[in-house]
Amino acid sequence: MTAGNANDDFDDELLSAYVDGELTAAERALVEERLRSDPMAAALVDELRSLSSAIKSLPRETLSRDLRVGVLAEVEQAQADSDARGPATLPLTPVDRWAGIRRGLAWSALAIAATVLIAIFQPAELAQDERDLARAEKRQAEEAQADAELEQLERRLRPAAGASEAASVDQLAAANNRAEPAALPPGLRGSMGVVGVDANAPSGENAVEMAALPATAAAPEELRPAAAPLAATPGVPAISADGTVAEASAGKLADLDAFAESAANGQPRADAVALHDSLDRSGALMAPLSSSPEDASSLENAAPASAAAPAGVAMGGMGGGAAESFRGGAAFGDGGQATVMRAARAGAPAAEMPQAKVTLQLASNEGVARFEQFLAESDIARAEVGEGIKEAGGERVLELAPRTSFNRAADDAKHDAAGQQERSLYFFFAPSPSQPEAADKVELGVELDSAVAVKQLGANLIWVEATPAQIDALLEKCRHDKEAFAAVLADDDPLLAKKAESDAAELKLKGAARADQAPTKSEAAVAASDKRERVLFMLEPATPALESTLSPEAGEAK
Amino acid sequence: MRKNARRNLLRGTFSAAAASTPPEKSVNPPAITDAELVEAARAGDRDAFGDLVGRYQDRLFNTMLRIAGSREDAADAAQDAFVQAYLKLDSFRGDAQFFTWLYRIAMNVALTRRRRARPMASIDAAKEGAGEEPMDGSAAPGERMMADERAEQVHSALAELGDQHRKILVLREMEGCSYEAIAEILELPVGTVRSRLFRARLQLRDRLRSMWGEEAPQLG
Repeated sequence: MTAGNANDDFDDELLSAYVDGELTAAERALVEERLRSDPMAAALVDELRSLSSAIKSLPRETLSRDLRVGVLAEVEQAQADSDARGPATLPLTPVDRWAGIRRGLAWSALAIAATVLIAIFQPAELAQDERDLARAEKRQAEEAQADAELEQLERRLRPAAGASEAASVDQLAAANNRAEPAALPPGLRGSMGVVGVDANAPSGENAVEMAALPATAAAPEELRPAAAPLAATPGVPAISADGTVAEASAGKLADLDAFAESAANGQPRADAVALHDSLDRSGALMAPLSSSPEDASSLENAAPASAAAPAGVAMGGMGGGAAESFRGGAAFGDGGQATVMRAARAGAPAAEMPQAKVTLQLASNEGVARFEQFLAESDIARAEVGEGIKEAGGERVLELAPRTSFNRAADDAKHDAAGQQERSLYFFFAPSPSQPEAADKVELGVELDSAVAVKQLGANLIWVEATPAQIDALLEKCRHDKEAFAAVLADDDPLLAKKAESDAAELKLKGAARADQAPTKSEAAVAASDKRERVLFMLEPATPALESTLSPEAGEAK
Repeated sequence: MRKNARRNLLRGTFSAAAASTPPEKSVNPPAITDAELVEAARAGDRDAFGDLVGRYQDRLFNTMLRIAGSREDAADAAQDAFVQAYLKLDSFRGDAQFFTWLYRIAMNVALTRRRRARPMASIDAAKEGAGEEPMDGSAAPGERMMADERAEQVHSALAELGDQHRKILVLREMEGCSYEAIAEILELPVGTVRSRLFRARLQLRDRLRSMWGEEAPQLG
């Protein structure tokens, strides 16, 4: 409303849209009527027009160089690198990563409870392919300061790693045997693990996982690559920026150098959200991240997978959500890439949703306070949190009950109006945009703005997908090194257990973070069959020491 | 399904004013459409992609200049965007405008680059961008100085806005994007575009007021 009419509900937003010619006829008539009777509204329109003119009149500049030269040189290099790498590293055949998903049950087949697992893919682009590395090299001259910082970082990392070269599996294993872990560079704890999954890969076939451990990582046997030793894949495993895994084999450990390189080239990383519901535990899907330059294209890439998915699965990516500043450590730990990630499960009967619950289990009790902070900064209403984090069976769990509705536009507007554009976590169900005709169906989803979370909490959020044994090992390592302050995962749902009794072990996933719970036989079988779980690790933020290492001042001082 | 929704989203177009803007550095006869160049590039004709670059580089550069801050950053971001576009060309669908698709990539490139940069795009950088603007030869020297100063202030005020507000203003005012196109590029609901644009304008107005004083409401 304009100031002169503070008591009516006229929305001044209409004036802005009026200036832009973006109103419906009815809205335009409303505005024009308003302008006749409200001088302040008319003045605001004039002002908005002036503003518009002021921006439009900004002078246009001319490029000082023809970008064609640089662009074509880069793409030629990329092509050459791609050719040199050979077909084995490129996705050659159409793949269907939903093959496994289709084995699941239909959402509607089982009623009531759903367990949702928030799954954030933040592969720190360990696998930036050679093209990107070439680009990074090419840009060294232009980015001298960044490189200097990187070198400084690497110098710190390598001696601390106790190995001058890439940490091999054996070295990692040796580290595992040490009574005390070698000194870890401050802040490196943020690099605990990342996992990439081929968005186009058949589930279970070339959904490659990578666990990037700090070089001091105590790598258990389970983490050793089953197929190819690390030495066979020096440098960077090939995961492209949109999450496509080029080299497909299970269980590759990325080394510390790879991580450093990924930080160096700073290329966009594949981020995604997967969502599991406990009914079939197969509704995993990935939504490419909005902040990635590959976003538009990777969404397109992902679309075929979506089409191949069961009708109940939808994909989506959300835009915006840019955190504008990052802690120095975050630039290394998470790359500052992720913004809003989204996963949604569509087609659920609306009537069942009010009974849906999400159970998150904290992997470590020591992280409770931090996770509560995370929740407090999130968009999750207190009513949804229920009793909050509570102890159950010696573990900390959090039950969430989704809101009855969610309107993103309204929510955005609300946050905009309140100047609260940043929120870190959404959990919602809403009328399904993918099935607008089905009014009785809703979409259940999660959204997490990890950039905001990083900014607000100073934490690194890293999604790990791995076999249960590997998850356990990573958690153990985190606990040992006190790196993770929390990790969350979906608790097993009773319905799932019931279902699993009659539907073979492949649908049953072990409660991943229960390191103290021995796997059952069937669970072991699942792990052996390379079934993966997804766990969100929230890692301690970089320490001031690392931040100073990465800060511009440090680079300049050097 | 969402796939189709996404496709529909990609159909968003720039407003007529922007879409009809002739290429500033066209190296091809106008008869050759973007779609044809894309198709040729997909078939391995890199020169065809080079033509696309030539067709849009100045326009993209100018937009990135207002977002990235400095000329060099803007040129680098534009180049990055073109490279990314090329590498993902296979995923480009014909039902979207190439430029719309490119812009979406470019906006994300800008965001990524901005995050990598330690300091935010500073006012100094903004001034650098504005300061190197060519003189308007049609204006008298005194007027030109005032116009330059005003442009610099507008540029600086823009640079002070948050990313979201700056982007949306640049897309609307400099590129003439329709709300629908902005929604597509920034992946926002149209309703959010409308409200955000309004707030962005108010923020810009307030900043300019603080620069110019309350007595200078006539911004244009």
